[in-house]
Amino acid sequence: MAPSDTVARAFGSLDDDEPTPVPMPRDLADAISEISRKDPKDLQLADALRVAEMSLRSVRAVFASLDELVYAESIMLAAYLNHARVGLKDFGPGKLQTTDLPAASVELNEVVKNTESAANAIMGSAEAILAADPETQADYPGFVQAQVLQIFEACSFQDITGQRIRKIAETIDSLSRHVESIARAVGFDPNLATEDAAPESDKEKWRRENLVHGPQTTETAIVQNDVDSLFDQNDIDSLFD
Amino acid sequence: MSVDKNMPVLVVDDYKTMVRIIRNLLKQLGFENVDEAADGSSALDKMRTRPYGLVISDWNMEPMTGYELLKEVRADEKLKSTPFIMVTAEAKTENVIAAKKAGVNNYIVKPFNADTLKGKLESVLGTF
Repeated sequence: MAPSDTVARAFGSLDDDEPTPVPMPRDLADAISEISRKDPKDLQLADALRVAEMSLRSVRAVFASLDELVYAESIMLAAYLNHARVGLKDFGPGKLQTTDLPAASVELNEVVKNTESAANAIMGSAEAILAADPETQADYPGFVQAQVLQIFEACSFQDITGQRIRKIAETIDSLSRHVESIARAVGFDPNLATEDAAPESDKEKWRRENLVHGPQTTETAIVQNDVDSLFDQNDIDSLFD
Repeated sequence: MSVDKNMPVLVVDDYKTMVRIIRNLLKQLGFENVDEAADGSSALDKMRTRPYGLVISDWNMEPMTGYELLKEVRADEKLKSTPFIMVTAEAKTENVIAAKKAGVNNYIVKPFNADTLKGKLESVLGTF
């Protein structure tokens, strides 16, 4: 039973317009009936004090039961929060935010730089070879060989970027495991869609609606021949029916 | 009718490396009058100031995608007949179909080679 259920059963739902009636103790009801039958001239201070004492006793009983309910709920909440605290501690949010994620971002930027640099070097060599005239270029074979060697050297980017990407993939895997762990620790099923997610920004919405998914994996991507087959079809419209 | 290889060609891609690759391939095929734009919006501005014989465009660009550029071009009375080839890493069937419905002349999936580019150019412009 969730903590809030015990309180709800004690007092009824807080959303109720009509409060749940609490029956009056029998001795108090009898005392009040007895006093109401007396002539007002015959009423004594002791009668009022007796009713007041009985009322106080019955109110104390209600609060005593309430105390038990609140205590039980507090114990459950404390256990819940401790579980979440342990989960968060294992998550290592400090290290993630200050070290791991910034490092992954740096690695990604380096990958972009490395690949761009390699592509430029390769194309530079290729352009130089294409532009060279065998008739006029001094030591043409040696020149071409030198350019080709530069192309081979530039291709070493794949080793460097591969290592960087592997590091990033490991960080992402670790992050994913920790997110799932903390989600389960606080009783949240990460497999269920959440209605409480932050609303999509205008930029995110534009990207979702307009940008396509980019390169696919080799297992799922359609190839040029598939595209050509689609273009050869005369009745594309029927594919939308 | 022979293909005029001196016609201006507009290459639209936000990656300078890819623009350089396409430019080099076009040069090998004899097309040396090549202009470039980094996204659909600046491409459209250029197309409205000078005529191009062919547009070769990527899809994923911001603030205007190649798909949006294609639709703008086909909706423009002066530009609608411009041959348009999409060159993109996007390889989902529904996007290929959407591009064809929007009036693209042909569609090349990255990575591609010189023979593929030549084949698609010839299918759009004529044999050369």
